[in-house]
Amino acid sequence: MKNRKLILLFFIVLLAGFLRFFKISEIPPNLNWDEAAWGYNAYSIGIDGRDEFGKIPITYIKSYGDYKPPVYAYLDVIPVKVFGLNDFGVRFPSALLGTLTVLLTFFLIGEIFPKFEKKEELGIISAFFLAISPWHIMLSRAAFEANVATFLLISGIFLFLKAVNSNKYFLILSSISFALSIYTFNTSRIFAPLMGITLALIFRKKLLKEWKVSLISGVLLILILLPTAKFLVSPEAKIRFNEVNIFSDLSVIDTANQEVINDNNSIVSKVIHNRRYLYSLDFLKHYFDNLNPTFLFIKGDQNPRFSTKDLGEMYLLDLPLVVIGIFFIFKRKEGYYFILPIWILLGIIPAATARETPHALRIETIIPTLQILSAFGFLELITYFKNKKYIPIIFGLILFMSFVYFYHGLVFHYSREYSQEWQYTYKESVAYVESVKNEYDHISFTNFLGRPYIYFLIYEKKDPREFRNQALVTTDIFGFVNVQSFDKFYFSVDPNNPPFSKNNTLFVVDPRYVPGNAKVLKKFSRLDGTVELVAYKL
Amino acid sequence: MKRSYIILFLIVIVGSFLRLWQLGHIPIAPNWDEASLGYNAYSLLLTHKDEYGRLFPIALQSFDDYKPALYAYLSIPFIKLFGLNIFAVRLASAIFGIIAVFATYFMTDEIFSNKKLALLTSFLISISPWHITFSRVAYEANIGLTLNILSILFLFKSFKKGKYLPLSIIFASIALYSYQAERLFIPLIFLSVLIIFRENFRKINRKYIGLSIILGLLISAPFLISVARDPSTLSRAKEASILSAPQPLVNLDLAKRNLVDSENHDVFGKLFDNRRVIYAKDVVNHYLSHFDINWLFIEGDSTNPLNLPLRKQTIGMGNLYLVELPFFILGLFLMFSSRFDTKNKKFILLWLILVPIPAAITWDTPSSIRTLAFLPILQAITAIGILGFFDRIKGNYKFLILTPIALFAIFNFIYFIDQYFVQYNFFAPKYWQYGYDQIVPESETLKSNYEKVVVSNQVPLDQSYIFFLFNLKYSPQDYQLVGNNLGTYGVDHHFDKYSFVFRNWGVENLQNKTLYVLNAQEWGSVDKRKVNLIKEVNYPNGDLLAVFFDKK
Repeated sequence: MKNRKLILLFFIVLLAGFLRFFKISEIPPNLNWDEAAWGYNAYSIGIDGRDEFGKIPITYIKSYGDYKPPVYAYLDVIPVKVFGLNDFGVRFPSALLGTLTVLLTFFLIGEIFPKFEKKEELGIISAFFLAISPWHIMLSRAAFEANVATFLLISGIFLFLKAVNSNKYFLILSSISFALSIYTFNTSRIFAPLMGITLALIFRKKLLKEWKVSLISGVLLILILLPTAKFLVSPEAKIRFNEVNIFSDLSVIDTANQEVINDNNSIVSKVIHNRRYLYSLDFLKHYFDNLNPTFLFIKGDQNPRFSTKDLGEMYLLDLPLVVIGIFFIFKRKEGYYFILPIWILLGIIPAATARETPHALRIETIIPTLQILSAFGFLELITYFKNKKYIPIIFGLILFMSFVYFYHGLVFHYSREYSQEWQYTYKESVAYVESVKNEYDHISFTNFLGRPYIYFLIYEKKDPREFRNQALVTTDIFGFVNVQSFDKFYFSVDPNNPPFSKNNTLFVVDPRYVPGNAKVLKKFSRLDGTVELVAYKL
Repeated sequence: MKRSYIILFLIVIVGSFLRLWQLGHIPIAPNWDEASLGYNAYSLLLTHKDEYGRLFPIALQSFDDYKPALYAYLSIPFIKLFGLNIFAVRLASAIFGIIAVFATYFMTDEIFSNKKLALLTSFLISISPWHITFSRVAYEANIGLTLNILSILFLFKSFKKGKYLPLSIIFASIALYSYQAERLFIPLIFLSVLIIFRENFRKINRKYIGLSIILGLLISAPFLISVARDPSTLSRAKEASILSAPQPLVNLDLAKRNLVDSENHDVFGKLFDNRRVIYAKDVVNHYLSHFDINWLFIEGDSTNPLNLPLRKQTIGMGNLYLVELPFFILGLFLMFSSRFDTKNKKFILLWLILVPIPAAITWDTPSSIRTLAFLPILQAITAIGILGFFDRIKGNYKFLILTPIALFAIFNFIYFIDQYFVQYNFFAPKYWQYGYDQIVPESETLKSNYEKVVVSNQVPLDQSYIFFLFNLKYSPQDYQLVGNNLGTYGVDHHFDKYSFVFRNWGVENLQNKTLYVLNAQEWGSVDKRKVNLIKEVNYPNGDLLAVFFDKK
C-alpha cells in the first residue's frame, strides 16, 4: 500500500518534470532580457566570481539598474558550466526547483496536517494539482527568480513545521531557507519576515521551550540578513520601490481637498476625507485585485510572460474545489490548517503595494496554498460521493480536458503568439550579425527592442573581463544602466546616425526607419511573421 | 413581538428618510431614462398611448431600448398628483424601496425564523448604499427587486398556508414587466424553488396550485404573446448581449490558430480553437466578475449611479460597506456550517449563484443594476455574520474589539452620506444630463423671435428632445402627430419650432431667423465672426455646458 503511494508520487514528480523541462528551449521561444541577464551574470560569476560589471554580488546584481537579488545567478553558475550558456542552462534552476516544489508540497502536507488520516492522499492530490498547474508550469519554464523564492519559502515553512512536529534542529535549516529567499526575490523581503514572525508567534511556547535552538536560528538569521538590511535603506533601493509603489499618486489628495471645501471645511469632513484612508483603500483595492476570480480562474495574468492568457492562473474547475476546500478546512480544523489562510493573506501583501495588479509573479508566494485547498476540496468530494463514484470521475475528466486545453495552447500556439514578449527577434538577428561581424568595422544596432547588448554577450560567450574593459556604460536619471557600446557594437535609439563613419558599417534598425538609400541585407521577424528588425548597409 | 415591530417601524422611518429626503434634487437632474419614463407616463395618463402612439404598450420603445413599461404605469398616479416633475417620476422607485425595507424583515423572518436576524437584515437594507442609490432614481430594476422580495416572502408563507401561493405568483408574474434581468431571474429562481421544495409543494392544496397556475399564465400572457409576435421586446437583451459586444474579452486571432491547427492535423485544435469556446469563456468571465471583492466592497461600477463621477478613480464607494466584508465572509461560513434547514441553505446558495446569470450574457460587467437581485440576500448573510460575531465575542476585552469596529462602521456610513448627499451634486452633473431646467425656459422665452430653434443632439445634450418634452410638459397628443416612428439613435427630432439634430457645425451653413442651442464642443467649431452670442449656460462648477446664439 505504502509502496503504491510512493510509486504514484514518483510518477507525479516525473510528470511535473516533463511538463517543466520538455521543449524548454523552444517554449518560451527565447530568453527574455531578464533571463539573459541571469545567464550572463552566472557565466561571469563562474569565470571570476564577479558580475558583468565587475562587482562581487552579495546583496544585489546591478544588471540593468534594477538591482536584482543575486541568488538565481549563483544557482545558475553550475548549470551554465555544465549545459552551456544557452536557454536550457539558464532556465535549468527554475525548472528543477519547480519540479522539486511538487515533491516538497507532498511532504509539506504531512507537516501541516500531521495527524490527518488522509494526509498521504491529500499530499498526492496536492502534488498532482501543482504538477499540472498552469500557473506553476509557466513560471517554472523560464528563469524566474520568483520561482526559486517560492521553493525556498515553502522549504522554510516545511522545515519550521518539521522542527515543531519532530526534530527541533530543522529550525536552523528553516531560518537559512527564509534568509536565502530574501536574497532571491523582492516580494520575499516583505513576505518572509511576515510569515516567519507569524509562525514564531503561533508556536511561541514551543520555541521558548527549545530556546537554545531558537536562539541559534535567530542569530544565524540576523547574521545572514545584515548585509541586505544595509542595502534596503540605501537610495538605490528607494528608487526601485518608488517606481512601482502606489503611494505616489497625488490626484487623490486634490479630490479630497475639494471634498472638504464642499463640506464647508467641517472637522468631520477632514476626518473622513484624509489621504491615509484613501491610500489604505487603494492598497486594499490592489490587494483584492489579486483575489479577483476572473484573474485566478478564467483570464489569468494579462502579461503573457506569466500566462498563456487562454485560461486563468488556475483551472476553472479549481474554483468550486477551492471554495469547498476553504469551507471544509475551517469546518474540520485539521492540524495546523490555519497556516494556509494566513499564508494566502500575507502572501498577497507585497503585490498589493505595487501598481500593476493582479500580478501572477508577485503572488507566486502563495503557491501551493490554493492547490492544496483545491485538493482538500477534491478529497471532500470523493468522500461525499463515495457511492456515486462517477461524480469525482466526471470532475477528473473535466480537469483532464482543461489541462489538455492549456497544454495544447502552450505547445502549439503560445510561442508564435507571444514571441515578442521573449525578445525572439534577437535570436536570429544576433546570430546573423555575429556571422558577418568580421566583414564590417562597426555595427550600429537599435535599442528599440531594449537591451540588445546582453544577447551579443551571450551569443559570443564573451569573456566578462574583456567586456568590462571595452564597454561604454552610462546611467540615466532613473538609475537605469545603458550599455552604449563595446567591441564593434554601438547601441542607440538612433542607430542610423552613429558617431562614426557610416562606411563599412552594418545597421540593424526598426523597419520604419530604414533610409531610402539603404541596401537591405536581411529582415528579422517575430514568430507570427511581423518584421521587427532590418539589417542594411549603405 | 411588539418590540420587534417598534424597531421595524423605526428602521422603516430611517429608510424612508434616506430615500425621500431631497428626492427631487439629489441626484441633481433627471437622466434621460427618467425623462423618458416620466414623459411616457405622462403620455399614457393623457392619451393611453406612449410617445410613439402605441396603445397600452407593455414595453416602451423609448430610445430603442424597449424599456419594460411597468415603471411608467406605476408613475401615472404620482404624475397626476404632483405634476410632471422629477420628484413625481422618482417617487414610485422610492416608495418601492421603502416597501423593500419593510418586506425584507418579513421575508428574512420567514426563511430563517429569527426576528433578530430579520430586523438586522432590514436595517442593513435601509442604510445600504446599493439600495439607497437605486431607490432614489427611477429605475425599473428597483421595482423588480421589491417584487422579488414580495414573491419570495409569500412563497415561503405558502409552505405554511397554501392560500399565499397565488399572491406570490402574482408578484412574480408582474415582475416580468418590470425589468429585463427579471425575465431570466424569476423563472430560474422559481424553478429552483420548485425542485428544492418539491415536498412542501405537495402539501399545498390543489386548488391554490391550480389558481396560481391560472393567474400566472393570465398575467404573463401579454408578455409571452408579445415576445412571440415581436421579439423586439427582448431587443435590449439582444443589444447588450455579448454576441454584439464591441470586442470580445479573449481577443484571439482564431483564424491564425485554425490555420496552424489544420497544418498540424490537430484534432484538439479543432475542438478548442473555436468561437464557441471563446464565447463560453466570455460568459464565465462576465459571470465571475460579480464575485470580485473589489467590486462589491471598494469600487462598485458605473452602473451604480453613485460611481458615475468617480469611475476613473479608486476612491468612492463599493456597493456594500467595507466594514461589512469580514461579517459577510463569517456569515457565509456560519450559514453553511450551522444547523439551518438544508433546503434553505440550498435555496440561499442557489439565489447567490443565479443572480449574475442575466448579467453574464451581457458585455458591460460587473453590473450593479443587473444584479440588484443580490439584495437583500447579501445583507442577510452579513447579518448572520454580525450576530454570530457578537455571540462569540464575550468577556472583558469585548469593548476593545467592538469599539474600533463600531467607529469604522460609523465612518463608513458618514462617508457614504457625505459622498451621496453633499459631494454627488458637485461632481456628478455632467453624468446627469444637467442643465435643461435652464436651457428649456430660456429657449421658450427666446423662440418667439425666431422661426426655428435648432438644438444639439450630441453629448452632453444627446436625446435633448425628450428633455424638452419633459420640461415643457409638451402635449402628448400634439407630439404623437409630429413625432417620428423611426426610433431615436442617430435620428433627428422635430416638434413645434424645435429641431434636435446631429450635425457637423464646422461645415454646416447657419440659417437666418434661427436660434441655435449647441453644446460647448460644437460651439467651439462654429465660426464666431458670423454669429451673435446670446447666452451661456454653465455647470455648477463653472464649466461651459451650452451656448445660445444666432446668425449675424
